[in-house]
Amino acid sequence: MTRALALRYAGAAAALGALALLPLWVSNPYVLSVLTLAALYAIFASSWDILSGYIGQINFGHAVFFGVGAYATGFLGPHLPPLLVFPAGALAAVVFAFLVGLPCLKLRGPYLSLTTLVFPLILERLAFTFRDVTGGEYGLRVDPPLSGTGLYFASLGLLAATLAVLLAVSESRLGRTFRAIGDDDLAAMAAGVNTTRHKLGAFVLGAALAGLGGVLYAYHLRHVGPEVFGLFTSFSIVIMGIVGGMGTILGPAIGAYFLTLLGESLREIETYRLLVYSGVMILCVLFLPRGLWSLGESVPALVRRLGRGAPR
Amino acid sequence: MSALLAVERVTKRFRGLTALSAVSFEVARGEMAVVIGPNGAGKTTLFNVITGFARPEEGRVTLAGEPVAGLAPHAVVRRGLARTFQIPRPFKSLTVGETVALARPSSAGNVLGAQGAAGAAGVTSAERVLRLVQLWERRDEPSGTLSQGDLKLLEVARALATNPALLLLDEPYAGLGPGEMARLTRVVMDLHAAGLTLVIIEHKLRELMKLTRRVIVLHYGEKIADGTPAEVSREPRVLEAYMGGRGGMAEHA
Repeated sequence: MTRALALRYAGAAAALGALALLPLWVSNPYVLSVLTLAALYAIFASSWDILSGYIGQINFGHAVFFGVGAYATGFLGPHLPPLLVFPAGALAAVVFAFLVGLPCLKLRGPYLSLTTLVFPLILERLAFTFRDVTGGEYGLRVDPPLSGTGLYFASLGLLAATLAVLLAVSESRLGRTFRAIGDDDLAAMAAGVNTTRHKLGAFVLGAALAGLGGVLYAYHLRHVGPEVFGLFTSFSIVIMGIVGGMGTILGPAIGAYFLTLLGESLREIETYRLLVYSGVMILCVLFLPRGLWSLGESVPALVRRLGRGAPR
Repeated sequence: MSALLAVERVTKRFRGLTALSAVSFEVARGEMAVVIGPNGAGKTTLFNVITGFARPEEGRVTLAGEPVAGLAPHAVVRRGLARTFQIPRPFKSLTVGETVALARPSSAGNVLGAQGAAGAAGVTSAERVLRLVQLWERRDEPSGTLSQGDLKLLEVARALATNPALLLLDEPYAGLGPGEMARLTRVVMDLHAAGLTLVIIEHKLRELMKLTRRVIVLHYGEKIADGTPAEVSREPRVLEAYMGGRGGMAEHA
C-alpha cells in the first residue's frame, strides 16, 4: 500500500470517527436521520463498486439486493429476533445474487449491464402482484428494534465494517484479480483466471453487504414498499458511484454522502431531484472523470505546485 | 519422442469462411515449432482453437493425450498450455510485478522448476520469470507505462508464470526494434534450452530460422507444408503461396 493510499484510509477512519462522535453535540433527530440514510446509501454504493468499479460490469440493478434484504425484514421482522433478521437479509440477497448472476455470467459488457436493469423491474412488478404477501403498493410496516440514535450508530458501524471488508478485498490478490478482469477479461483468462467464478463472487460479496444494509434501511424507514425496486433507487446508486469515483470503494461512499445531503437540502424541489443528480453526474464526468475521490489526489498536488511556485 | 500437443483434423468456420480446414500436426515434448503463413492463413485462429478461446467445428486437440478443445480458456491454462497475444493485452491498473503474481500456475510445467534450480534458493516464481525477461527491475511500475517491446516481454512473462508445459507465442517479434528482438530471441533460446515446448507464430522468419528445425506452413486455413526450414522452402506449394514461386522463402530465411 502506498503512503498516499494509507493517508486516505486514515482520513476515512477519521471521518467515520467524527461521525460517531457527532451525536454528542447534535441531538436534532432530523439531522441524525438524514445522516443515517447517507450511511446506508454509502453501504449500497460501496458494495456496488466491487462488481461495477473493479470488474467493470456496471450493475444497474443493485437495488435488488438491498431491496430483498429490506423485504426480508418486512416478512421476518415480526417473527425473528433482530439479530437473526440480519443474516436472513444477507442470505436472501445472496440467493438473488445467484439468480441474477448466473444468467448474466455468459454475458459480457453492455449485455450484462442491461440484464441487471431488468431484475429490479421484475421484482417491483411481483411486489405489486402478490399483494397478499407483500402488501402491494402499501408495502409492509416494519417495527425497528432500535431508537433513531441507535439506528444511526448501527448504520455507521455497518458502514465501517463494509468499508473494512471491501478495502481488505481490494488490496488482496482477489481484488487485483477483479481489477485484472476489469482491465481485460481475455487476458485474465489467459493467465488462468476463472473469470465467471470471480464475477459471481463479486456479485455475491456485494449482495451480502447490500442485504445487511437493506435490513437497516427497512428499520430506518419503518416500512418497505415496491418503490425500493424503482428505477430511481438503482440509478441513484450508479450516480453516487460515478460521482464519488468508481473502483475506489471509498469514493462511492463519499458520493453517497454528498448526494444524500444535496438531495435533502433540495427537499423543496423534490420532483427535480433526479434532474439535479444527473446534472451533478454530468459535471463530474466532464470535469472530474474519476469522481470526487480524485480531488483527494489533485488537491495535495495543487497545494504542492502552489507551494513550489510561491516566493520564499 | 512422445507428442505433447496433438492437433487432429481441426476445422473452424466463421459463417461462410473456413478459417481452418482439417489441420493436423503434432509437437513433441521439448520441441520448438514455428507456424508461418500469409495474413489470413488461420494462424491466430489455430492458437485460439488450441487454447479454448474458440471452439472448432470438427477435430480434436489433445495435450499429453488429454483432450483440451472445448475446455474454457482458464481450464486449458491450468492443464499447462499458455499463450501470448499478438497485440499485448496488459492489465493497465496493475504493476508489472502484480501482473505476473496474478497468474494461476498449473502443475504441468517444468520450466519454473528448472529455472529455479539454476537460480538462487527462495526466489519466487514471479521473480524468476521477471528476471528471465529482464523486467524484474521494473516490477513496481504500472504495466501501462511500458514500451511496446517490454509489453511483449511482459506477455511472455505472464504466460510463463502459469508454469506451462507448452507455450504458444503469437507473433512475438511484431513491432519490436532490433535490440528488443535480440532480447526476445535470448529468452526464447533460454526457454527452449530449459526444455519448454514452444509453438511460435511468426511473419519475420529471419530471427527464427536460425533457431528452429521445424516449420509448419498454413495457407488459407490448410497446412501446406511441415518440415525443416530447408525442406519447407523447397516445397512447390510454399513457393507458390509465397509470391508465386519467386523464392520468397529464401528471402525470409
